[in-house]
This record gives sequence, C-alpha cells and structure tokens, in this order.
Amino acid sequence: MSRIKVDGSARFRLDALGLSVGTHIEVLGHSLFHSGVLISFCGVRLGMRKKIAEAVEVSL
Amino acid sequence: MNIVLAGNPNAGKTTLFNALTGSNLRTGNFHGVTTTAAKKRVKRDGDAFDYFDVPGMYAFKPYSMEEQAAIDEIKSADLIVNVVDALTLESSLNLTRAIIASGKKVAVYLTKVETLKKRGGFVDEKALAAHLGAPVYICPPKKLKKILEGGSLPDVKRDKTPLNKAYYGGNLSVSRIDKLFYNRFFALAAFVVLVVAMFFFAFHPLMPGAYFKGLCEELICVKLCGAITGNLQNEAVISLVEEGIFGGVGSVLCFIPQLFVLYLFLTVLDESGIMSALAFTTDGLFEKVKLSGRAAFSLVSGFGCTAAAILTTRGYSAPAAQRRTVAVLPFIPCGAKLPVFLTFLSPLFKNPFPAITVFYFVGVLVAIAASALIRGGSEGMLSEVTPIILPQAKAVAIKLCFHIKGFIIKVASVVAVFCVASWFLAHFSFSFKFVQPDESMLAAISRLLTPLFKPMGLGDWRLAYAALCGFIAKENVAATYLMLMPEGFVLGRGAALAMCTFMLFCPACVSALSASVKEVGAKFTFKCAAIQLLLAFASGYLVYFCYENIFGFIG
Repeated sequence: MSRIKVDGSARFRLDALGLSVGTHIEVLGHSLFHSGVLISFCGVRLGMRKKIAEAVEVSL
Repeated sequence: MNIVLAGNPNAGKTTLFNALTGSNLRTGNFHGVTTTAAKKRVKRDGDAFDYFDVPGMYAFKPYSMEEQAAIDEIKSADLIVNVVDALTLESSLNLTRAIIASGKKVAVYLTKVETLKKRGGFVDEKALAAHLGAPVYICPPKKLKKILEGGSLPDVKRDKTPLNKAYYGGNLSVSRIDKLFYNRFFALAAFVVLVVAMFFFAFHPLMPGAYFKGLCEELICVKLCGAITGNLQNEAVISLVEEGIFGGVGSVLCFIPQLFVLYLFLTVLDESGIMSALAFTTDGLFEKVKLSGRAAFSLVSGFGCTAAAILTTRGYSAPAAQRRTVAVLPFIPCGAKLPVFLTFLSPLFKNPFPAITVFYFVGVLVAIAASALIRGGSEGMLSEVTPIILPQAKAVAIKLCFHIKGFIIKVASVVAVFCVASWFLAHFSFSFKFVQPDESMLAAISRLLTPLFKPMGLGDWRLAYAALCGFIAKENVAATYLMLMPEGFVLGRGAALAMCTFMLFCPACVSALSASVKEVGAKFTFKCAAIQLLLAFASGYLVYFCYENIFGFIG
C-alpha cells in the first residue's frame, strides 16, 4: 500500500482495520462485473467497491 | 452491573453472550449477523448482572447504523468485555486500544485460539495483557463468567512488551476452498446448485422431506385424530377437533420435515462462511440494482423469515439502500409460504419440485428487478469476508432446533387460535346456531370479498378467506384452507397457480410489516404494501387468464 486517497467514514474503517501505507496486501479475487476487489492483509479479508479500490495506490 | 460484549464483527460476541446467559440468539460465520443490541439479566448471590450483546464495530466512528447502536450501548457500560478474534488479532487491537483509552473497565477475551494454533500461530495471554494494559483471558465461558461476576478483575499495568512477543498469526495463506468460493463465477453457480439441491431434497416425492411429511400426516392427521374423535360424541366438538385442530393446525405441523431441510440449508450457509463469500462475489450484480452484496445476506435470510431478514438491513450504511431492500424482501418466499405452495401444488403435480423451485426463483428475480425501480441512492461495499469453515454439527443442531421450535410455537399459538376462531365463524350463524359452513357468519362476510378473487378462478368464499388469512401469518393460508375444505383439493391447475402467484407477491405478514415500520417508517411500509397487493392481484389474474386461455390448451 503506497497511498490511500479515501476520506470520510470509509477512511475510518480502513484505519480501524489496520490498512495503512506500507501494509502488504494480496489480491484474492474480484466480484461479478469486476465491481469490487477482495484483498487480504494481516489475516483480514476485505471486500471493497471499485470506487474505494481505485483511491488506493499500491506498489508491486 | 452493565457488562457489554463489544468487538469487531464475527469475533464471537453473540456466541459468548449465549454461553454466558443461556440465551439462543442467532449466530453465523459472516459479518453483520447481530444488528440490534440484546440484553439479558443474570443473578448471582443476590447481585444482578445485565449482559449486553451489541453489533460488531471497528471504531468509535460509525460506518453503519448498527455500529452506532453498539457505540450507544458501550457508553452505558460498567464493564466492557472486548471479544477479540485471535485470527485477526492485529487489526482487532485498534478497537481494543480505543476501548481501553475510553477509561472504562475492560477485559479482553480471545476467541478462535484453537484455530490459531492449528495454523501455527500462538498467543501469550500475560504478554498481551502487559502490551495492552488490560487483563486478557483465554478460557471457557463458564470460567470467564465467574471472573466477571466475582468482581475480581486485576489491574494490569501497560509496559513496553512488543506485540510480536505476545502474538504470532501463523500461516496466513488462503486455503484452496476459500479461493474457489472467492471466484465470482463459482460462488454464484455453487449457490444456485445448493438451492436447487435443497428444493430437491425437500420437495421431490422420493426424497426424505416429502417421505417424512407423508409419515407425519398419517400419524397426526389420521391415526391420532381418529383415536381422539373416536371417543367423542358431540357433533360440534368432533368437527372442531377434526377440522379446526387436526385439519388446520395438524396439517401445517406436518410440513416440519420439509421446513427442516430448508432451515438445514440456511443454517449451513450461515455457519460455513459461504454466505460471506457470496455477498462479496454477487456485489457486482447487486450494484446494477443499486444495492450491495450485503443484500444477498438479507435476501437469503428472507427464505427463512421476512421479519428476521428486515432486521438484517440495519447493517447498511445508506438509509436509501435499507429502504430499497426492505421494500423488496416480501417478494422472497419465506418459510411460512412453503406450506402454501406445497398445499396447492402437490395435488396437481406428481413431482412438485420443479414448480416450487420456479416460484422461489421468480420471487428472487422479481425482488432484484424491483430494487432497480425504486428511487433513491445506492449502497457501497466495504466489509470483511470470512474464511470458509466446516460448520460444527452442534452449532447447526442447536440452530435447527431453535428454528423448528419457533415454528411449532407459532403454529401452536397464532395459527391454532386463528384456526379455532375461523372454525367457530365457519360453523355458526349470526344467531349462534351450529350450521353448515355455507350458512355461517364467515361465509356471509367472505362472499363480499369473493368478487376480487373470482378472476383468479378462486370463486369459492373459502379460498378468498384463506388467501386473506395470510396477512396475519402466512401459515394461516394453508391451515384455514385445509380446515375449510376437508373434502380435499378442488382447484384446477390454473386457479392453483394463480393462488400461488398471489401468495408469492402479496404483502408480508403482520410481524414483517411491524418490523418494516420500525426500520423504515409507516408511510413507506404501507405504500409498498399497497403496491405489492395490487401486483399480487394483477399477477394472479394474469396467470389464471394465461393458463386458461393459452397454456391450458397445450398442457
């Protein structure tokens, strides 16, 4: 995770789950019509919509 | 003393609450099962302890309505038991630290520690307690209860113990079966196959559901009824027992074997985590109709009970999405509609399984399509997905018993009272003389409503009355029909299909309506109910017309 450009209650939830800059994430899958992505980090599996996912930058 | 069980969703708060208080609240292996706070008082040596089970939360800044409910309860707590899932301990501790910082008395209780050990992880209670500055417990619920009610929580000083000395998460890789269910095509296809298999086992004449139903009918409605009425002399009492009690209530109780299959399927979905994976993978489909994957959970819950499904919508972050889901939930055939479909379709089809399956799928499709037509904003998705696990047989058995017990209690109370009252009205005239049903008070009143049902082929007053009974409880439809028509089935195929279509689309029962009023307000609830009623009549007329004028010639 290199940058998180999410605001509001979604940002609070990501912070509360421990997703922050520097966290190592793994992409597990996508939902139908690629509307969302499922990621894994620190034992947590988090599904998020495309709108939020696009606001999160990752470096490979 | 107020003891609040707080923690992240799916940490095991409700399971712990049930163990501490002897309750039987609903649990499941996905996030968002508990949507309202529950309270139970326990007394010990003269002291009263009020335990509170609250919805899961991640932080003191709420993302959804249910999180706000949790935060409100925590404010009144004397002691907070922070239930933490050992499998996701690192992220869970963000909430733990926030709760400790609130200044309230806190005890941390770890769950799923055995599973953590199986994947190679470990957790040291004392080191973790020192890291957090709060007591940490890994013990059976009984022991925790003694500690909490004994008033002997130790003060633990926080020191510089690093977290990695107290905890190691083990092998965090995703299992093959999880990866399979996270595949967007597999999850949906697997769900459809499971649903069809459920209907097959429940409704196919050669399968256990139908076999045991027949057995129940023979034992209850024939042998037991015969044994009791054989000792009676009074004509009115014999009629009450045969038609009112066994014909109505007894007949509905005979559906228990098939309901058992339905609830078994729903319980396995709940406990295994498949529901959570389905909610994520179908999110793309629900996004098209302005909902989120969370709606999958509400819709599947609707297969059991519409009122319970309505309560699950509290986890939505957008009120408009909640309203939309509540509006479409009555289209999902609930468990109470199952006896109705079976009563009207079984006599017409040697194998009612395909017909009933079609009705269930039509209900789901109409619910999804209706969602797209309702105005308002949409719901986003940002939620945890749980791992797939093999459900524990004990947990499944307890939940099944709870569902079946609830059904029996409802039939033995609401339906029984309704059947007896209906029997009385159907066998006595306005001058309170014992008469034939066609001369009764009920016949006179119901004939006023019969013109509404005649275009569906339901010109008999008894059918009109049975259809309307569903507004109290859907089980009443089958019960009153079987009670008022002891001579057996008289409907043609078109009329039976029209009746089932009417029941599929008609508004939910009183329990679901009152849950809906509580969640989304009376005005919206009754507006939706009026539209559903019009749709129910219109579709019933259409089905009957089409069958009699088009398909009847073919079939």
